[in-house]
Amino acid sequence: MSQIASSILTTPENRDKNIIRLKHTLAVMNKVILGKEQTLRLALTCLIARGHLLIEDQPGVGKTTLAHLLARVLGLDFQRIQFTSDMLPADILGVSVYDQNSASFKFHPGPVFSQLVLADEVNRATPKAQSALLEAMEEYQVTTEGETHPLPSPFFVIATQNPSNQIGTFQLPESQLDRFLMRLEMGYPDEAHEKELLRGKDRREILKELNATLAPTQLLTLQQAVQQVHVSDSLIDYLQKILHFTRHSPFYRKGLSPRAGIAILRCAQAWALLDQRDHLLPEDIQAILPATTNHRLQPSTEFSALAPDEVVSHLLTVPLD
Amino acid sequence: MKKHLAHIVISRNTTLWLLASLLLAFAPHILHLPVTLTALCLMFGIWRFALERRSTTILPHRIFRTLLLCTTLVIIYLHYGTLFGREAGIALLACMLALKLLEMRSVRDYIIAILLGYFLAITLVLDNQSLPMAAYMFVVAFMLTATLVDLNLSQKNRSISINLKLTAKLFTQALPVMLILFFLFPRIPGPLWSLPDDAHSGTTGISDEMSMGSISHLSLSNKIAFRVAFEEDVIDNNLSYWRGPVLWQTDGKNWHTGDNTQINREISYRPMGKPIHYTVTLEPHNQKWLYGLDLPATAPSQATINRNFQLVTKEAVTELMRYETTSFSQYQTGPLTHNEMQRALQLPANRNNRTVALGQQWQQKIQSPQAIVNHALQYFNQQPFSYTLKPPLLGNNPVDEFLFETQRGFCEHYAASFTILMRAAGIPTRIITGYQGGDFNPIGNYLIVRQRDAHAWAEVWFENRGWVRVDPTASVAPERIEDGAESAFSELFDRQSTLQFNNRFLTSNWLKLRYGWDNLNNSWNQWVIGYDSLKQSELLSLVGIESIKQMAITMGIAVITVLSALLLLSMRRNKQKQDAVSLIYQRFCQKLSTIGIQRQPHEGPLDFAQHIITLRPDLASQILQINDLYIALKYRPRHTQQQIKRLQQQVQQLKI
Repeated sequence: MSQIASSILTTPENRDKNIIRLKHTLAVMNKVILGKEQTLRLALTCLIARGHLLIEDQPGVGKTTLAHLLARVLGLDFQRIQFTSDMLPADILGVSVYDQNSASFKFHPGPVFSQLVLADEVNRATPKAQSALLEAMEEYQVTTEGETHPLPSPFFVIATQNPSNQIGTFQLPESQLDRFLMRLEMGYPDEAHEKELLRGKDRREILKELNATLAPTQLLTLQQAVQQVHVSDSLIDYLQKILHFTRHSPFYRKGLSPRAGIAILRCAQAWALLDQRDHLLPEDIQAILPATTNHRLQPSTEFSALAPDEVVSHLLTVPLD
Repeated sequence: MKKHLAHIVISRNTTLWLLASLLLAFAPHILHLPVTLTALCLMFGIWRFALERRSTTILPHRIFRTLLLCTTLVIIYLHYGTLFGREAGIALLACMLALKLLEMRSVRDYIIAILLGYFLAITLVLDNQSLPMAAYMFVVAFMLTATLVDLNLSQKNRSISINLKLTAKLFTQALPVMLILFFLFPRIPGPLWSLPDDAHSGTTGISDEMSMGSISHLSLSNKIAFRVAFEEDVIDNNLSYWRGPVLWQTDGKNWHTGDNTQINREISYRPMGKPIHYTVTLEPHNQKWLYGLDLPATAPSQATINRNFQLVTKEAVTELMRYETTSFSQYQTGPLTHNEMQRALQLPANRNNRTVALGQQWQQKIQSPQAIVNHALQYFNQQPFSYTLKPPLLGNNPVDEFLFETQRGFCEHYAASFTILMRAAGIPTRIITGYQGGDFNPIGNYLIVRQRDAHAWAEVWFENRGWVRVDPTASVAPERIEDGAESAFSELFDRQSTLQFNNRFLTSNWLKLRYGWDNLNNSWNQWVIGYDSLKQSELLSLVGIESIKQMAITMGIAVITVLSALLLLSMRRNKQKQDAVSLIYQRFCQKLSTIGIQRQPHEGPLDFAQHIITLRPDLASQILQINDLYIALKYRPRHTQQQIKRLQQQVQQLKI
């Protein structure tokens, strides 16, 4: 049944309509967060590629605003979890409490049970709490005390973290970083946009006034359409060459995993969809390559002085064919 | 292989191509095959053709096919008494191939049929190695290759012009390989295969026996016996006697060489006058002798001169042979041995009594042997003898009947009766067979001696002069000796010359054409057929290759070089085919690089197009068109051949 429904939803006309709505959404987002078209587009791409997003930057550059914004425009219900060093997994996942009326334990879902979860400063929590969230992200379900509770759909986690050199942080292990489809950096706005920001209304006020521009079902349809973007053999070759490069180049401590390869491909397809194309181009891969690989690749000891951008920039020089 | 063949679709056209080319390969064999087998093979072919016409693929049942096979085998066995050997083998091959047509279904079957077709075509050279046959075989091979090409062409591309172009290309590519193999493949002296006896069974031309009428039957044959190139001037026709077997022994009817025990010792004579050097190219006649101009002085390397002054070989001449030798037209031979004297006077008892009586009568009447000979020649000249190709049949005393009754005969009649007369008159005489005359080919500058020039004459022995040639035919029909057999029997040969070619211009052109054609054949014989192990080693020593081993190594290197070159070429071709689109795009990029716009290896098409347009906004529309097409071809799921063509055109038309 669901198959039939999805196939109806993804007819070409339907898909095109949804893509136009998506682009409209992007335009709306650009009015709230100024001068960050590329970042916003990547964030949206990550969302329709069914991936989770990690944002790493200084406090106050608009990480939380971005999460709020996405929740508003997509009409998703939204929960924010502020990670702290004394946090327990139950604070995220929920607890079972004894109910005297029914004389049984009743599960009280935690904040993770929502369509969009903002995990703020995820690296402030202990690894135990971190892994509770990350497992939920991977499995799309929560298992406590022998009971399995499915998470809502769509389910999307935006985690923010402060730069690792700050005091009192627990660095996310590589294996868990791999679960984020993308890592973005917000960066400071440029001069003109910052002035506009300072002059304009409070962002929170604007957010409150925003209406949803895309229904959750439409989002699901778009997520399905991503997989139908055609990938030619030559691009598979190209992507494999990139993966091969990371595994044999002296720049990196370790190469990209096959999971990373799939993530890159999925992201690139989503990027192409946002461009209203039914086929993938090398530019799509190149566009999402830094965001999808910079948290997965660490420079080798010889090149440890390299900045993350520099590490990734070598990937873009892999020849097409 | 199977996987590779799986996608080939056999069309009806392919079958028609195949049937046509197999018919071509089969046609010349009709001359040799028994009628039943020819009919059977044609029937199978027509059967398949009919099936194809009705577009059915229902082939005869397996059991039925087996029955047909057995029947065919039995017919072949009944006809040849074996299934092997040359003739039976060819028949077997032809029939099996025809039967194959009835079970041809898969691509593999077609390929087998085509390969067998090539094999059937190559068997044609076993019968005939002439230039026209080579041309014919070329056509057959071309047709078969075209069939193979047709089988492999994709459904869309099937058209006769594409096919013929491709086949011609294949043939051109095969040419260097053919030349290398022709020149370098080790030649084996003697016949190529040691086939069973029947390989060269048919003797042609003069034999070592003679009876009345045995030479005249040759005289209708235009087949070439040998060709002679003289180092100096061509000799006169009346000296052009080509010596073959010498006949001593007779029973009154038949003549043969007789006792051979003594003649195989070598002998020499006293030559006089100028030596004549010449080179003979002898067509194979399957006999153990060569022909030399009267009288050969030196034996070529392949032969020796026996006591009859005949050039004899150890082995029968089964392939075209080229030899150089020297003769003297004036000579004096030595005395006869007792045995020779006896044999030169031998007469059969109680045969041709009237002739013997006439000879004895002359001996008593006339004193000197020389005068007797002259008298005999006068006798032939003055009596109403006539020279004819169609002498009447003669009975038990043929010479008597000829001399006194019919008086119509061919050279062997005159030579035989003259010899009997002389022997009866006590003069040692023998018969020489061979050829006399020949046509001179002014274009190739050589003499052509044909079977119709076959001749028989006599030699008488005088005490003081030794053996002297006497040709009684010259007394009867001097034009035969002066102008050759052709003019003597002009009513029989070359009707063309007496029919329409009264026009002098046409006649001379016709002659030119004929001589030109023979010259071509001669060159073919000399340089292609006659390219034997000897010539090969001569040629190879020119380039410094002295031994077979060296040649094998050279050939190996040549073959490996050619093969690896072909392999490299095809690999490159494959790669190109794999990505014709990329190739066109590469050309596009090259074009742009000439105006300094260089595409980075990692630059995607959109980025590159943007890059170009920012530098050259005037090209925008062209670049965008090309880019759209390229993206569609390279990155979108479905595309057509036409799109590739369009891309190619647009890249070609791009002016910068």
